Amino acid sequence: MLTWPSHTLWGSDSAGLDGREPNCLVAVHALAAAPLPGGGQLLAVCLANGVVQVWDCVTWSCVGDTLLSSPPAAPLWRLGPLPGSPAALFVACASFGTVQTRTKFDRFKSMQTCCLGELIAGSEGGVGVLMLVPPAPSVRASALVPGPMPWEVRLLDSGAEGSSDGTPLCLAWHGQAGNLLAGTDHGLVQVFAPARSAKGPITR
Amino acid sequence: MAYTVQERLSHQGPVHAVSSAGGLVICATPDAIVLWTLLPTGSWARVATTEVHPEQAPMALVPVTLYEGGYDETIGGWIWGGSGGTLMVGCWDGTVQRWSLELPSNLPSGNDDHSRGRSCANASGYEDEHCTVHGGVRLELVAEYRGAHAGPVNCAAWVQEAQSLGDVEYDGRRGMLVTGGSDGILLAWALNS
Repeated sequence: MLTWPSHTLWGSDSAGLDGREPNCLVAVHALAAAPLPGGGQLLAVCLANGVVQVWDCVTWSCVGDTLLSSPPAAPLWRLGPLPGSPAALFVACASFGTVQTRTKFDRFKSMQTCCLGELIAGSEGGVGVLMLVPPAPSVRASALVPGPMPWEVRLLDSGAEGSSDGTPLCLAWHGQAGNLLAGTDHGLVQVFAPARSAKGPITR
Repeated sequence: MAYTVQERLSHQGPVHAVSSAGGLVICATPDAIVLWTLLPTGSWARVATTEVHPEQAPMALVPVTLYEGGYDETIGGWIWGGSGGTLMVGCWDGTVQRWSLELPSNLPSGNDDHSRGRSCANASGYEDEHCTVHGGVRLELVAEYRGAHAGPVNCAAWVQEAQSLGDVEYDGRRGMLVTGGSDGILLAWALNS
């Protein structure tokens, strides 16, 4: 059963999601949670102003009716604002990894990294795929440490096909056949299938 | 990765939310919750439609329970386990609802029905305000929390809990529901077993 009332993660008694004062709260447009192979979950939050924040959910999971700890003061990453203020968000891929860096003492230090592989956003004009990639091999993400989004954002596919079907309002994954689903304001659910030949990347 | 549109499922009014669990695709429109399934023939069938009050238009959907059954590659279809689950719904008026979904052992197959208002094949069901039965698919409102958000519940997500955090399960799944509203607030819903 649900336990009422719920816990307010961010609200009138705390800082707004966009880091402003509580009376300047921005509407939450979309949420997407992604399990990580190494354990834990990421939660991507898309605000009405197009800003996407990625939060570490492990630290504020619930057990029974007890919130284990307070939510973190800041998201892991901030992204955007994305073009078109997306109304839908979906994390298609996320992974943990380990990188080794050489210290000044010539020792190797292992660091846990966290990578969002694909973040799919639906906004006016269709469904776009945002690939989050490290800007350079030498620059690693200090994952699980709040800070600026360390990834370059590239729009790989504008999703122009089907854009006349309306603006996507929601996204989901249908695992039975491996389809991406997008519900639009025109009353359609677009069933997407991975294209055999990908278009060339469009750098934003 | 690029994606191309393979199929279009028609509804009346905007599709505010779409979600998938097991072999079902669940859609929310301003006045209905619509359940679809992919048939072995490769076509989509609407298996149930539950009308809701427009003031409580569903805006966000989260199927909490994974339904029993599995995908059988030999027949290219979903084998139903005759089970059901729980569907959490965020509404236009700020309400968060819990729905119970019961599935028959055999969902209808071979009937490609894309028209609105019609239910599954062999539907001999009934409807009341908060309960719909079509072809053995039963969708029933079992609980609601009004005023959870000050405005429309725009989105919801299920955050799976790390197994090391405890033994609490909710219909077999560990985790918590998170809802986001137009009021700029994220709520985490604690669950009891």
